[in-house]
Amino acid sequence: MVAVLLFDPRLCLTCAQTLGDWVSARQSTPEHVRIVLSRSPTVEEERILVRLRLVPDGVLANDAYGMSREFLFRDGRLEVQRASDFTAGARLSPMVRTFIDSARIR
Amino acid sequence: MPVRTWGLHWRTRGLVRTCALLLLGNALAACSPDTDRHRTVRSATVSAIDSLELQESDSSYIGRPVGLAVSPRGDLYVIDAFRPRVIRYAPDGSMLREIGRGGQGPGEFSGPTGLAFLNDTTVAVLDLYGNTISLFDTRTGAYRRRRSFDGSYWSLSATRDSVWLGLWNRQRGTAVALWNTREDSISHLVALPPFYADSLTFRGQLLGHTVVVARDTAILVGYAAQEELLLADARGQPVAHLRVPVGRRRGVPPNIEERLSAARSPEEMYGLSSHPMRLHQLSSGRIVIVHSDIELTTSSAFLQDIYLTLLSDDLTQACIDAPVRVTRQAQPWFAFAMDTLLVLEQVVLETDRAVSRVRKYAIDDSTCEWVSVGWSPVIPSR
Repeated sequence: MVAVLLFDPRLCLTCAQTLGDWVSARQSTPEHVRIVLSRSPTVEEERILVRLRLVPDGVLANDAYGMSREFLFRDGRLEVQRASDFTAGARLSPMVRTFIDSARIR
Repeated sequence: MPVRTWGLHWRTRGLVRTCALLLLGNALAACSPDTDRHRTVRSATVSAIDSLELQESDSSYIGRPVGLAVSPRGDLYVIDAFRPRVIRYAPDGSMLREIGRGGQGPGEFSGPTGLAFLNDTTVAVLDLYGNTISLFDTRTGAYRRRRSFDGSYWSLSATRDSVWLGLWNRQRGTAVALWNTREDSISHLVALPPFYADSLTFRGQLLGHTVVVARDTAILVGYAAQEELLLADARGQPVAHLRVPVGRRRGVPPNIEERLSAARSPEEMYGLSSHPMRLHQLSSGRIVIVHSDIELTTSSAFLQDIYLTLLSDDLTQACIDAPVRVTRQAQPWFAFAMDTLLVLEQVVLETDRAVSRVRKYAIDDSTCEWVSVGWSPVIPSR
């Protein structure tokens, strides 16, 4: 299984709380977690990404405006998707948390 | 009853009398609000004296610093909101330990935003989104206990057993809370100013930042987008509003509430005025106000021009708006180690490597041209 975060850099890179959880999850289980941007970052956003040490696994070719979603894939097939919560103080969604915890166990 | 505050002995009624006499004697500057905006006077000199790079690695680094404090023994404590925790550094910048982690349980943070030391062995951490203050043992990093408060959290400082919070409690109509950690009692102090209570803009909390510095007998409170500081006694009863003259900083336009209400974006709102970001008492008894002129970028980065103002220990004179040179790449964070200002900045080098750097600044007041602080005494109601 692979969890994918599709993230629009317009959504407050400097304050998106769950982004840190995703980066931590990717550090601990890199084979199961991907972080993809919905468009190329601007120069200013690139600087922020450097500060966050966030190297995206990919960038969508066509700007998916405002799109931030979480996906779970099993054997290449999409199993679940949902909108991601990037409001201040938000924590990782139970769906992703459960997946990451089980991925760690494996 | 005589009260001693920052070296000044006064009686509330006596102060009112003194101001009235001074007003009669045309000594307006001593007591009336200073209406001269943007005065050109000599400021203190703030010089970088040292720079320190904090140790980071690919797996353990500061993603989004949101707070800095210096322990009584000189260690540096940095809050990282990206992966919520506090990182403790030795005075040479080497990483010592991590304290707390992301989550909502004991010893965990949702959105840590401030910290302060009660003593050598206890650090208090403010969790903005978790609505708690947690205490940790600095020697082991172990969680001790926490306390929840009703209201909106903004800042904290500590004196011995007491934690002082810039905390709005709208039900009680107060702007400051005092947690006596020894007795585990809470007092809500200082009436929420009308401009906060009445304004939708302020109620929306976009500009709610409140800073507090306290001693045994008095409290000094500063509010975002407000020029005046409030001096209150230890029970939170207002004594006087202090208007610090404006030099280089933007200051606050007289019609700030209207202009904030008319602003069409957060970027515009933050750019309208200066904001007091920190209050600190120097060993001489003088007070330092760190003012920020914020530029909020479209990527939500808070770039800032920093100005430092000194208040005499009797709070009647000010040495205003010494510029503090920062890189303006990212939001700076401030702390004081006794009389030394420390500024934490994340800097992206030409090699596309990010480093977290702490600069130390000495404050030299020999270049100061002192100007009068406008005092507006609050006459106690009978």
